[in-house]
Amino acid sequence: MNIETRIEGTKTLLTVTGRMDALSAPAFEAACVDLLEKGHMTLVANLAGLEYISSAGLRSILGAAKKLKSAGGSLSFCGLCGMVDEVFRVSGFLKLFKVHASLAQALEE
Amino acid sequence: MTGGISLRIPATLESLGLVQNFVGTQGKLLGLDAEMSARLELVVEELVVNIGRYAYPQGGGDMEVDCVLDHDRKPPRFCLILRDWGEAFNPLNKEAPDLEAGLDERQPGGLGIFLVRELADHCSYRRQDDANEFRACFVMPKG
Repeated sequence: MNIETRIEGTKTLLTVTGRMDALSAPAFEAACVDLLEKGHMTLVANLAGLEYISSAGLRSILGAAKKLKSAGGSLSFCGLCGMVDEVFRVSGFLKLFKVHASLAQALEE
Repeated sequence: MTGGISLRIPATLESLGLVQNFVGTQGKLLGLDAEMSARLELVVEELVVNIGRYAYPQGGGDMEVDCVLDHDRKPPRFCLILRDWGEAFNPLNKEAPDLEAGLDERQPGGLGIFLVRELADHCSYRRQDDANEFRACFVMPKG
């Protein structure tokens, strides 16, 4: 898994690519916590390039989101497709998180 | 039944890549499409992680992985079979997570087995000869 971070106005965009499995998943939460500690409160994760996610990935996302929320920040998503979209839907994560229809919309809202 | 080659390997997270390669190759040979392969990959990871966590909490055990095509069923099923010789553990007894809970209440656990049950078409467990045997089957597409 690879995570690239870019500031877009008031938001911080994380472009996540590759695989979020039991071995790589903790790095996502760590990246979000690192950004939070540096004062980035509104995080948007673009998952268009994410090929695979397991429950370890969901756990990492949930951990990051809980920490951001309790600090007054937020984590939202865009670019869900394929099995990542299916896993989000089955797990109830589509109801739990704001999921934007596109990257453009995620940065506009 | 078609298949017959099995992989026996230490039940650790470090084995995950090898198990994925083995199952992915067997899946291709037995005719799984891309969508089923992606589901299978997730099922494999969740089950391997579970064996490490619950069957061998102290570490140090093996697991055995088998892939078979069950022609006796119509339509045929592709079945992943995982065996370990650790503590008796039936993943199907685990409670499903509360999918309606909000972010504050939502607990991180329990999603792995839940996903296995949702993404595989049939799951079964049995304890036999001091081994846990978990079977996750996928109905093959027609044609």
